[in-house]
Order: sequence, then structure tokens, then C-alpha cells
Amino acid sequence: MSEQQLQQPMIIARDVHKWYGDFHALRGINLEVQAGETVVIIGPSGSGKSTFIRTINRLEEHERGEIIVNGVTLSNDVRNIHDIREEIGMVFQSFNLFPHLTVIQNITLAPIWVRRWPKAKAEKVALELLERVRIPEQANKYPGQLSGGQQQRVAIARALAMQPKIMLFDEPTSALDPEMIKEVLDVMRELAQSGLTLICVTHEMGFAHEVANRVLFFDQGQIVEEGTPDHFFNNPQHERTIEFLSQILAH
Amino acid sequence: MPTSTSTTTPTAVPVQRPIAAAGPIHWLRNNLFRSWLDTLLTIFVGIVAVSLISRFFQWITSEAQWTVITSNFRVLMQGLYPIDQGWRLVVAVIVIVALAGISWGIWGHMFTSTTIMLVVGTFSVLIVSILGPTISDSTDLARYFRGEIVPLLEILRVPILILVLCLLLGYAIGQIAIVLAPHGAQRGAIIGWLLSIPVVFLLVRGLAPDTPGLPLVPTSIWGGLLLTFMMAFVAIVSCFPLGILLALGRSPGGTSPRQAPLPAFWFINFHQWYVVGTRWWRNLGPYPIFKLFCALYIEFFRGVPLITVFFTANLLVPFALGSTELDSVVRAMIALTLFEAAYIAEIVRGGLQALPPGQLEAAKALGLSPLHATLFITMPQALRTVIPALVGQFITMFKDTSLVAVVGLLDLLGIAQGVLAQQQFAGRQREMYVFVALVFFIFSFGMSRAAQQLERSGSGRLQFER
Repeated sequence: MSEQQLQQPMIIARDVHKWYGDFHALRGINLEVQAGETVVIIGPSGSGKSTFIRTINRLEEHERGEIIVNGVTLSNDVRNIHDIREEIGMVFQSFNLFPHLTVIQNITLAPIWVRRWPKAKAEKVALELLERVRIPEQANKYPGQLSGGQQQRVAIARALAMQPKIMLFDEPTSALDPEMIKEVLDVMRELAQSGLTLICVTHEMGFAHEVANRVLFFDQGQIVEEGTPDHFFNNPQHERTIEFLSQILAH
Repeated sequence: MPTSTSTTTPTAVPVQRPIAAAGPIHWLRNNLFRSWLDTLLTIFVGIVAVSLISRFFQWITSEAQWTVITSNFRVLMQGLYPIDQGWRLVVAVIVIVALAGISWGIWGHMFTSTTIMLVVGTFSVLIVSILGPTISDSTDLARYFRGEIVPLLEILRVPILILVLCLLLGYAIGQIAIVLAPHGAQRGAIIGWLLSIPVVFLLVRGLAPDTPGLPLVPTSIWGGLLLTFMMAFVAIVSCFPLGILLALGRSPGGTSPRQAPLPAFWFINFHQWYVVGTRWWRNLGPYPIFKLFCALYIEFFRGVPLITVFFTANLLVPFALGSTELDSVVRAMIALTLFEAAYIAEIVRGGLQALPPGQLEAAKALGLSPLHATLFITMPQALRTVIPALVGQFITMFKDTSLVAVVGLLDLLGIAQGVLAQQQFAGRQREMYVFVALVFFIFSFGMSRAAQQLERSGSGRLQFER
């Protein structure tokens, strides 16, 4: 079984469609992500990149096609969804920390109630994770007392505490001041090297170039172009990609 | 054009903010006499206020005759409850007030000003009522004071002393408990409140006519503040969980399905009726029947006056059950609970909707079940947001208990009116209604103060405070 799982891609999306009202947000996404791979998704706003990664842990339901994560097909079966969500960590643009809980409570909540770990173990893991994201001294503060960069690092630690196989980042640095972007990107860089499967929506081209195994370019709900960072940034083929990159890199 | 960039060295010493002009004269000019219209309004309101206050002061220092309160104090407090069983009421009050104090100590933080107010108020009542009789009758004022005010304070001092002592002791216990065992203390207090309903009810009502020590006191002879208090207490404690369940039942919405716009004149085509119907049903979300029931329940009880609900509970329920076993006080309590739960539900639903959607998304993404997400993430935050509205509703409930008069129950106000109807107390309306208003005010104000402190203290604090 493990043999088979090793060979099977971690995430398979086949012809994924999604509509908001009459708006066709995803128009047939096909993608395979191998275990341990780092995939960066870029594209103009409204191109469906956030929607797509939110279908992977079913925060959005896809309405046509098939998504298989870690060997489980996503459907309306509640048990499947819970199994999948335990294996996928997610980091949001707006952090979404729980403001009424301390940092350590934010991190230990899910391990205690979903993984059923004893509290002592959960707290030990949480402190190790805070060490890893370099803010061990903030454990007993409330999220409102931290800077944006610190909050986002707590959010990363919270997602990691479930020991997921996959991490999804939905524009993790877009809400941050320039000075704080680096501290979050440093943590993400370290994660990418640790062997987790990473899918990251971002506008940080430097980060994409350096860390990604593969870069996808989304436009109008489709993957317009994909390739290695070198190929993608130095030799883009599609005219939309060229236009987008020239706009991004111009300033 | 200069090509070099200019730089400014940050000043090492921060510059003082300019001091705004202050002082009483300045305050008066700014707040009361800013323009000619302000001046006019100030003078007008000042004249009205001074005349009202001086008239009231004159009344309370020379005219008011409080014998109507002192000679009816017991019946105002407990209705026709047997005098020799009065200790049961005292114990019940002690239990509830102590619980309130303990919860306050656990979840809130008493302001120094409140503590001082309580202690100084109690002491002044004690001292005046003890020293009062020794004042010589040299002046009219002193004579009036000795004859009318001191007896009133004498009758009030023991209840006030018991209330304040229990509250402060409970508060101290709560503060100690929260330090020693935070989780145990919170759980204990919640269990205590849940247990307190049946315990207090049984204590006050008794089980059977021949129970030794606790003979049955039928609710039909309850009255006065006892009835007001029991109605409000039982209804508040039981409508709260019911309201939360209703709010949860009504809140989940449908997932945004693909919805084509309807054609013009869709209602002409029968097939379009079917489309609209199924779309509406789908929009009710995952548990349509449950949601529909909650919505109907809430809209029904919010659309009906409380008096009608009391009447219905009193007249139709025994008719429907085919028996009159449920006595009228219990019927009224159930009616009030069902009625108020609808309002509580809408308040709590408001709190749930005010939450940023990211909170629930984050909880889902972590794999938390809907139950855990509600218990740990959405509900605590929603309840904190709506504390002011909730307490407002509880205060309304406390005051609404007076409406039980329509089904023949005599609460504090009902008893007061009964007393006033007697020949010997004719013309004492002012004293009586001032007293009744004061009693209602003390309890309502206490609730609102407690809520303010819950909001400002740690457990009421919501995000983004440094």
C-alpha cells in the first residue's frame, strides 16, 4: 500500500470546474503534484488561483471533475472531507488566527481535539514549532498583541501542528508590510526544503524563482502555462504570461 | 533642479503635544454655552431640572409616608408565602446571589468603584438605621426623619446586608478559585447554575404537602418580589441555551449554487414555480426542515405579544393537555422562556453573522468538526460580541415579568396595586411606586453593571487590544 502511495501523485486534479453564479471561475484544471514537490501558482487577480487551492481542502466545492488528495477522492462524504483536512494545512492571506485564544491555544486546539493528543504532547510540539518559526517567546500572548509577520508565522505553526502532508499557502505575504514579508518567506523556504508538499499562491516572484520546482500561470480559470522557474521566467511561451511578467517585473 | 535627496534626522526628544485650554470656566463655555441656542437650551433645561429636583427633595424630606412599605414589606417581598417558611426564601436568595458573585469573580473583574459603592451604601444604611432612633426630635426635619425614614431603613438593612455580603463573599471565592483551578472553577460554576434551577425551585416549592421540614408551598400563593425573581431567574437561565440552539439552527445558509436569473413574468409559468421552490429549498442549507422550524419558531414568537403568549399558555395548554396539573406559575415560566428564547436566538445569530468568515474557514481547514468549531471558535466570539444586547434582553425580561398580572398572578407590581387598593393605604401611590421602581432599578442596574465589567474584563475582551 505504501509502495503504491509513494508512486501515486499526492494531488490529482482532473478537469476541475467551478462556478460562482454565472461566473465560470475554474474552467477545467488538470494538475498532478508529486509528494515533496513545491508548486507556485501565479496569475492576475480574479484568475481563479485562490479558488483552486481552496478546492483542494474543499473550502470551495468543485462542481465538475475530480480531485484526489493522498488517495482520497473529494466528494460530499463528510468523513472523507475530514480525513483530507487533517492531512492538509492551510495558511490564509488574512491569517485568520483565533483572537480569543492565546498563541499556544491557537496551535494546540486542533491537535488536542482532532488528533486526540494529550495536552502535554500538543504543547510540547507547539513550542517546538514556535521555535521553528522563531517566535518561542510569544507563546502566551494573544494574536492581537503580535505584528502581522508574527501572526502569519503563528498561523504557519498552527497549520504545521497537525503534521500535515500538504501545505497550502493562499497569498501568505499579501497583507504584510514589506519589512515583514522576508521573515515569513524565510520560514516558507525552510518548509519547502523539509520535504512537505507545498502549493503556494503568491506574487513574490523572487521566492517563486528560488524555491519552486514548478510554476503555474493561471488566467481566466485555466492553467495557461506551466514549467520550471528557469523556463518560466526566462523563456515564457504564452503571450498572456509574457504580458503579465512584463507588468510585474517592470516596476 | 536639485538632484540630491534631502534627509531629516529624527528628533531625539519627542515634542510635547500642545496643551488644550482647561478649567471649569472653559468647560462650561465649551459644553453648555457654546452658542446662543446652547445657552437657551441650558437655561431652559436647568429651570425644569431644578424645579423637579427641588419638588422631589421637598417630598422626600417632609411629605412621604413610608408606613405603606414598612407595614406591607413582607407581602411585597413574598406574597402569601407562609411566614414560618420564610427561611427557605432566604436560603434560595443566598444560593443565587452567591452563585452570581462566584461567576462574577471567575469571569469578570469588579471595579474598585463598584466595590466602594456597595460597601459604602450598605454601611450608610446600617449606620443611619442604627443611629437614627437616637436623634432628638428638636426640628421638624429630625422628627420626620425619625418617624418615616428610619423605620424604612431598619426593615431594609438585613436584606441589603445579606445580599451584599453574599455577593462579595462569592466574588472572593470566585477570584480564589480561578487562580487555584481555572478550568475546574469555570466548569463548576456552569454546573452550579444548571443545578441551581431545580434546587432553588424545589427548595422554594417543596415536594409534597407532608414533607418534613419542606412542606409544599403551592405556586398559586407565591407573589411579590419572590414571584418576579423566580420567573425571571428560571426564564433567563433556561431561555439562554434554548436561544443558542435556535440561533444555530437558523444560521447555516446554503452553499452558493449556480443560480440563473429568473425570466420575466416567471410566475405565469407553472414550471418556474417549481424552479423557484426547489431553489428556495436548496438555499435552506444542509438541514432544511430543522432550519425552517427554527425560522418559523423565531418569527412566530417575535410576531406575537407576550401577553398573548401568557394567555395562551394559561388557557389553551391545560385544554390541550386535558388536565390542569401544570400550575399557572410553571405555565407562565414556560411561556416566558419560549417567548424570550426567540429574541435571544436573533441576538446570538447577529453575533454569529458578525464574525469574519475566515474564522470558520480556518477552523474547517484545521479539520475541526462543526461541533468543535462552534464550541471553541464561533460561539465564544459571537457571545462576547453580543453581551450588551443579551443583557439588555435579560433586563427587559426581568421587567416583563410584571405582565403575568394578566393571568392572575401577583408579582411585585401586582401586590403593590393590591395594597394600594386597600382603604387604609389610599393616596400612597407615590411612595409605593417609587419603592417598586427602586427595587426593579436595583436589580436591572446590577445586571447592567455586571455586564459592563464582563465586557471590559479579560473574558469579554475581543481582539486587537494591546
